[in-house]
Amino acid sequence: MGYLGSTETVYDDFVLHLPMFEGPLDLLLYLIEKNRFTLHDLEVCPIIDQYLSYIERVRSLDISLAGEFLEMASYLIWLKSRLLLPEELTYTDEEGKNPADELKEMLLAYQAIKAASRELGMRPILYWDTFPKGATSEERDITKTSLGPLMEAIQAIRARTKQLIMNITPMRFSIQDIMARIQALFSGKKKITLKEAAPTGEKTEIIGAFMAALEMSKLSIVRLIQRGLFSTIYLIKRTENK
Amino acid sequence: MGKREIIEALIFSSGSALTVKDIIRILPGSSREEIERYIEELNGIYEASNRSFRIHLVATGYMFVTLPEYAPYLRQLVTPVKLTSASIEVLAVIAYKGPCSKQTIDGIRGVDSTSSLKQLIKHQLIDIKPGKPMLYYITEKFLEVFGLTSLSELPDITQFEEVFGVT
Repeated sequence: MGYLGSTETVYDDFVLHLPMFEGPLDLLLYLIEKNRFTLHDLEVCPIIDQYLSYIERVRSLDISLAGEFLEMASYLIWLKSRLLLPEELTYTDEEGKNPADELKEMLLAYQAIKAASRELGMRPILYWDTFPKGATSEERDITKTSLGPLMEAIQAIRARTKQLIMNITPMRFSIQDIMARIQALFSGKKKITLKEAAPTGEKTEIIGAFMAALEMSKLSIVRLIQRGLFSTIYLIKRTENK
Repeated sequence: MGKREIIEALIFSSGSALTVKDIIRILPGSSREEIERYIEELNGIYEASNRSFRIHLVATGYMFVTLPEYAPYLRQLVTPVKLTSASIEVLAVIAYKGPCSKQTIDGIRGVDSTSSLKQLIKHQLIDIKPGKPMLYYITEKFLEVFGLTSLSELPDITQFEEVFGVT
């Protein structure tokens, strides 16, 4: 892309400090400050150029950039194209606002919040700078739980149950196959246990064997015998189908 | 044993911040100003004898806290709460513009604030007002953590709008 202009040298000394920018507005403020503009006498075009060449440079270094930086870049390209139009053709929105002024307003609002957050961050912070009595035994009082933590907990539970559903393995044993296996086991003997029909002992196989046994009982191929609750289930081959 | 020492004992034994109301309930006839004066005297005594703690007034009441210079040692004993600069920025937006929606917060910051909001909710520094859209607001815990008695104690945001390029 062709928007690398005469401003190429600007980024060399700050490209290494990439993580210090919280977002595209932060980067724009940095550039404005670097150019010794104020938000009131701001010349938008050089800042746009520098922003775009910075983005270009970062992308050429193969550093993945948050989507917001690119979104801002496309907005700035659009803005610059508007600003290059002759005065009388300059675009204004429904409220008659100049788009460059909109950008300035956005920057002004962000700049104020940034300064306020810097001020906030300089206060001594409890559990980081200062510690209350009993900080080691700090426990969450569940009676004071509010909507936020509650929603967080629900999300955590949802994520957990989702995972469980994903862990279910498909049925690997067909009842038909197990029935055939039981028939084979009967060659040479009359009585087998249900366990023999499910040699791997896997839950799904045991269920499959149990269902196969029920099916074979229904078809009068076997008789099922169990002496008491939870005791061994025997399959006894019927000699003849009546 | 004077009122001052009784107040000290009450705050000392209190698990969380002790309200002025609680002190007045136990020491009837005390005024807010009187209590404040005693606290000042106590902090004066701690300072003069080089103690490692002071009594602080926060939104929820009075509590003993350690001085910042002891933090490097305490961080090894207690799991500290480290807020990222992004999270503090989100807190500033909510403190000044809140209750506000995520859209407002993202709009002002120009970036997505999802992970910061999660972190702040986890630390109970902000909470959610139900509705559409959901609104985020500052909790009492926030005031306690930042040593504030109310949001009005924060500097006026317009004062930041005038200056530019502070680093």
